[in-house]
Amino acid sequence: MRRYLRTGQRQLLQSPSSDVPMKDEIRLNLTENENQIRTAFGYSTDLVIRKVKFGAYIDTKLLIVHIDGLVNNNGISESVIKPITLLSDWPPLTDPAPAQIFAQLKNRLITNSELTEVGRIEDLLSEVCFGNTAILVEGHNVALIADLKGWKERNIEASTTEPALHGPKESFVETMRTNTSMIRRHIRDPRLRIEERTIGAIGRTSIAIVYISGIARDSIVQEVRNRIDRISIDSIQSSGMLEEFIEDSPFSLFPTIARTERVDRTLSTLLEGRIVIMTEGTPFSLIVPCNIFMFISSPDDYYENSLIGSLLRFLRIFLFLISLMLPGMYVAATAFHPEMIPTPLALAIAAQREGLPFPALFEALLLAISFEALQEASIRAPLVFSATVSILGILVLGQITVQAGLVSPFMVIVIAITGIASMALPSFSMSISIRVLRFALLILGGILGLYGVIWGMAALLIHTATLRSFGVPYSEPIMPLGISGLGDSQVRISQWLKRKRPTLVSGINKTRQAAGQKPSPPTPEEKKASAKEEES
Amino acid sequence: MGLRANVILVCLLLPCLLCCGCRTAGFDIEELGFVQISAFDRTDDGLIQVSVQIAKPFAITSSAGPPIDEKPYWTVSSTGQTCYQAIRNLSTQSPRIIFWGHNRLTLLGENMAKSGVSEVLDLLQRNHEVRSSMDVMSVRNASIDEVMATMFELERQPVKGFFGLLWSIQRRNSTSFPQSVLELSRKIETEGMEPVIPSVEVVNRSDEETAAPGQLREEVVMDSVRINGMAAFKEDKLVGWLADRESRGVLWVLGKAQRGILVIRDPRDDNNLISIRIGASSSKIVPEIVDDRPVIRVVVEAEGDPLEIDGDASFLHHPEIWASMERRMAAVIRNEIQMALTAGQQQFQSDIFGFGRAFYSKYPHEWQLIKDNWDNIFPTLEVQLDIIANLKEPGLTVEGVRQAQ
Repeated sequence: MRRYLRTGQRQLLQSPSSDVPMKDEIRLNLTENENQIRTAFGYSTDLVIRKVKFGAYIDTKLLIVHIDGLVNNNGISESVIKPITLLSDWPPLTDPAPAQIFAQLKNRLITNSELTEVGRIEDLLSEVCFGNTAILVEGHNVALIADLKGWKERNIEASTTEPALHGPKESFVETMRTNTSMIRRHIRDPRLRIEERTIGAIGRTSIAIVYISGIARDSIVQEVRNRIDRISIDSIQSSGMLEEFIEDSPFSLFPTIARTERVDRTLSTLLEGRIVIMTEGTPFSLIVPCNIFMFISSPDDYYENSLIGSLLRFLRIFLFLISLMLPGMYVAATAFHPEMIPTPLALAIAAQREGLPFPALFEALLLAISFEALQEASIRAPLVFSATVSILGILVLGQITVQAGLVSPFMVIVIAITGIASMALPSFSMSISIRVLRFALLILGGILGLYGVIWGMAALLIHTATLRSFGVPYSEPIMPLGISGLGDSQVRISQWLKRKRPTLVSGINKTRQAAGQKPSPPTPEEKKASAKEEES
Repeated sequence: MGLRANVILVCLLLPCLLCCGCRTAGFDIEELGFVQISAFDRTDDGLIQVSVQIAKPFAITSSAGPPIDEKPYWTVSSTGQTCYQAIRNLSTQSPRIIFWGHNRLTLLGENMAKSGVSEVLDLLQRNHEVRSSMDVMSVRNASIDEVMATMFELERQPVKGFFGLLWSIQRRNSTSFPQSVLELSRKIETEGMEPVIPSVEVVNRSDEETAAPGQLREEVVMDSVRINGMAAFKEDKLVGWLADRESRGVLWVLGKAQRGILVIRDPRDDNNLISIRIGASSSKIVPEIVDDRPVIRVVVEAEGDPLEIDGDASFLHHPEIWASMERRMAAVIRNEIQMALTAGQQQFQSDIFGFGRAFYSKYPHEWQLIKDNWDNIFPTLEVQLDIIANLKEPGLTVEGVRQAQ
């Protein structure tokens, strides 16, 4: 917490356009201080300043400052106001000097666990903005800051964007502290490091760099720190904005930073040596460095049998290719290579295309764009319209276009399969990139045939081979080959085989577990031993 | 890779994209006329006649729509001085671009086959659209128009009917064997080996009584086709026809006779017939040079199951009768091969068995000496047959029906 504040202060000092009274020390006069605070906030209505007397017998006034809605009201009354007003009389103070009162407050009365002192108005304001409570004493120029934050936050719920059947349900929420606590709860080791930064001169968003010391590679951690420290911005609303500032290839369509809202996924990447960046206000963690296979893996792969997990990976690779290439391949085959299609299918396609007004490419574009529109509408439209969207989608796309003779049923099937395939991919950030690339391949296929599709794929391959995520090749562990990472790329090998962490990502601590943990029936010696035990 | 390198890469790749010349189609799939069967023949005035069946996709019944009472194909023919010209002359009648990529069967008319098919084969192999793997058949005793006009009762598309015939005959009877254009051309080009291809003839059904007395609806029965043995070629010219059993004789030697029924007489009672289903066979052609004379030894090993036993089946328990049946089975096979050898050596004088090729493989130097004279050596070539027949399982029952009574 302290670290967090210190960086916050530094940021504030750097901010040039602040009209807060900057360098002022806290005055001895309570009214002056009050006025200064009120002026700084421009008489905002959520600022609460409560003036109380120290006990029944001493006339010294105290000022309690906080912002309504950011603090825990019960906590303030229980651990601040009640001690000051009701419990301060006994034992009576021998010397009612402000310094004595302050010491009494600090050492005895205020029962909050996290308590700091500040000497400047500016620091006090910053603390109050973060949701802390300031206590000023008449005639004393140091204020006490009690951490009594408390605000409405969303409950921890099951993940909605990355559902998994088995495994833990919990997902991140908007409050970063809750998120880091969820991680800490599962990795109970002091080597789990949570470094915090505050970004944004005005927004002052907290950002946490989470990694496991020794397992994460120091050079990559340093790179993350450098990239985050370089950001100078007024405010960051979400981790998506942060991503744009720190990613390796801003113009690439492929995501080079993985996001997840699942706690289990975050934990497993931490244990591989990856680094997690959490942002206050965003229920998603960013994972760096990432590789392309992270976008086709799902937590369920690890909770099922490794064979099934591997088959699911293969299925997703297949679906990945389908959703990327199918429309392009279909158009290329029908318009350029009818000899490639089996005869009955070719005749069936020809029969269906009989009398259609558009060439195959435009037919495909028409349907694909309608499909995109439908997908966009189903995400953006208010919930009350969702029924309308789906009915129109089914009617217009599925039925009417075919009946009206605008598109062929085969094309509808092709686009529908493509759509389903792209939705079956576990990562939305990857499937949204594929949606764009699909159009490129479709147009290439429609203009140049399979030749164009192949060139497009070659270009994509070259592009992904050049990509890096925080300096680590994107197509690792395939290229460059990393044997220890291969077991968790296109296939998912059994847990007891995963002895090493990915080579390029992890730090000094590379061994995950001991060898030879494959479950097996007891050896004769073990049997003998257990028999002996039973006898005795 | 920097931006500049990317730009250079794109500049290098763009010409590749634009300068390549493999775009020939440029038509959408529904603008093409898919040739399903093609047929070539030579007319009496020396022109080449080409006849094709083009699919009518819209008339192929889909499972969803109502049955369409319309032929799903269109037969059209034209002539020209060469095959290619004849094909291009089709465009004067066909409103759709004729597309050969889905042509799976080509028929060779008798006139054309007798005068040589190398012209057609050259075209079919040279053209990039045509598949060399398409099957080729020879038309016997009919014009290609007559064959193209036949219909199958079981198939709406004749191409499926022809294919079904080729498959069923290969898998059920082995009296003929499919040959592709590529195999035909290869055998023509190979020294010491001549091609045999399936032959197809028209079964005249139109004149038959079509409506039984008392039947309300008169059914139109169309002419149909049947596969009748094979056509033997010498180089690229048709030299004669092999009947069903002769064809199987050739196929025994070539190791292609895998299925079929052999009928033998019961060793104990000549009036009773026994059917043996061929289960598997293999053959080996062993060329030898004996006293400076080439001699061929053909080893055929066949397996069969006695699956129809007329009369007493108790002999199944007697090994000596079993062995005698195996000898009779071998005799039937030997007989079939002898018929084929007679046809090949005496009638056609064409090495349809590939004996010359076998010599070439085993005695390449000696072959050089005899190859020019092979046409004279072959008809009198001594062929020793070595038939090994094995009987396996007598089916589900052991006792015969008559015996059980």
